[in-house]
Amino acid sequence: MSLLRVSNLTVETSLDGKTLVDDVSFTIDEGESVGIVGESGSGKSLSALSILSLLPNGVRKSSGTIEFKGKEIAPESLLDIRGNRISMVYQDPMTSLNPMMKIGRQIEEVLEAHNIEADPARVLLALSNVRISDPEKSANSYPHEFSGGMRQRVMIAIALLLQPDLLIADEPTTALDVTIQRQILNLVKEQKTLNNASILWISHDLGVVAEMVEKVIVMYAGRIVEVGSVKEIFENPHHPYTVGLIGSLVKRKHQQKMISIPGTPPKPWTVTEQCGFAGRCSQVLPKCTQKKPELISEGRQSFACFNPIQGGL
Amino acid sequence: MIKVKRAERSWVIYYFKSLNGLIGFVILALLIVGSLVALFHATPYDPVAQDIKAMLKPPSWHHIFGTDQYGRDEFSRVLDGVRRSLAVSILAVSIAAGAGLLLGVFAGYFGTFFDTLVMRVSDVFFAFPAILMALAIVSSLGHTWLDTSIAIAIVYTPIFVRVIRGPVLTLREMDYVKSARVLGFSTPRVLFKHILPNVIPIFLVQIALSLSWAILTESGLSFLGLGTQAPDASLGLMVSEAQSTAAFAWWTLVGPALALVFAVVSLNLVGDGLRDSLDPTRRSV
Repeated sequence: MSLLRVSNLTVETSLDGKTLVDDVSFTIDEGESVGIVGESGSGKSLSALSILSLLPNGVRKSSGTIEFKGKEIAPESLLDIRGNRISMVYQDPMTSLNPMMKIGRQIEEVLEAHNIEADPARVLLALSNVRISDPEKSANSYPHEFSGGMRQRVMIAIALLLQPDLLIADEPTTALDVTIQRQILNLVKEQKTLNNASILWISHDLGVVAEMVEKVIVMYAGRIVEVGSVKEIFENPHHPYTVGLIGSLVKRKHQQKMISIPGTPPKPWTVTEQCGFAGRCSQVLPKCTQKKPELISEGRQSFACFNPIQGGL
Repeated sequence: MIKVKRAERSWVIYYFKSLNGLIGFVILALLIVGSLVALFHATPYDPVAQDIKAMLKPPSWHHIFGTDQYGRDEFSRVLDGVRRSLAVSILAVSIAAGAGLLLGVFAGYFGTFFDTLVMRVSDVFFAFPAILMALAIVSSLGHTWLDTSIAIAIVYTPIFVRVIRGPVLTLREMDYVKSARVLGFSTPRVLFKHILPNVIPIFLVQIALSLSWAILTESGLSFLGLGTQAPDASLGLMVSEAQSTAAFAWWTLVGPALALVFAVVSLNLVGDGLRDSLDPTRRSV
């Protein structure tokens, strides 16, 4: 049984009903790591936020179900699940911590929120688990005394404090420099094996995703365009967008030119009746602009394209 | 709480480590002692007692700030004037700060209609220059020190509302505030533990600055004849009375003017010191 099942999720603006996420379905198994990749505005963050009903004002889930451990998440059980069974690490560690509250106190608050007695030893253990040196001193520090990487470690410590079943990481390394990024990635991997947690990793960085997850979901203009294992996606991509995305990765070999995909992504609500990628696709067919391609499965891999690329890269 | 390993230092220590804060505190303390002396009628002379034999005497050991045109002791009058100015501005700023904090936090945090209402009313108040607004209110209310305080409070409330609402708007959108709400903490807890502590430094600094402006406003009103009435002493009124005598008796102007300068400067310095000591991110390690 899968840990989390998202079915037919559609998110739209509440004011004028513009579609932002269109009919997204995916599952995460217990202990599995899943990555969602896509450009800004592709709906990857909104899909993740929907899981914990954290959509921003002005945006609402119009249809679809989200099941956690086989049961649909009810509004009244949200308090129990958030931060406890499913927790989240945000993109910007600078705004995630209260500047006027000591680190240790902020970790204790999570325990209080779930009616667990605050235990200093537990706080110190959480800090040392994320490799923060001198946890006692750190617990008594204010966030501004910490660097971005240290703060993100604290966020991870908070997220993993109650041993959640699922950790949603919304681009947690984009605000950090590359060396720190590496440390954070290793840390999350290590903690994942320690707690046997599932991970939903959201990123626009294919390289990071390839390293962190087993299954990749590629999103474009509010829709899933391709799903597969990391190996399948990188070696045998079918959707022209995935091919373009992998092609535009920075290569180690120099003298090889970076390839970019021409054009810009469309607004998701303008392409509800056609393939969102048709306008930028190199092998577009007439029917691509007339009908929406459904996600079709080929083995364990699936893609939404009328004219898929065969034969791999 | 966690066991404290590093010596816990309160903001008070940080405050007195800053030179500005220290100087401001010392001057302000002297002014407060002076007003207490006036409050308990312990001034060297009665501030309103006239002495025809001692008219316009320059500073001496008997009258350290000299005497005015009615032979009243300038030093005693300055002390009494400082007392009155401080009393009026403290009362005015307390009202304005209390009302402003409440309105600002609610308008910023809850937004919607209440926010619009509060902010548009504030805009109307901002459309008039502060002194003109205070003049209008005081001339319709009356001339007691309570009326002056209320007039200044009304003028200063919108400033507090704005100063508080802005940061609250930003804080409301901070991830840690959202997270606290999402974790199911009650609205009062989010307001008092996550929003207010982050506003308090700005709030206290605004109080210190407003006190100094309020002293100037009170003096301005008295100078124009709408605040404290003769024969009572007030810094603004004394400056106004000194206009006719300053040309040949400079001390009649210097006493009250210096007291005003010291009051305003000390409150500004205290504001600086508070800002630097209350905000953990501004403390020098």
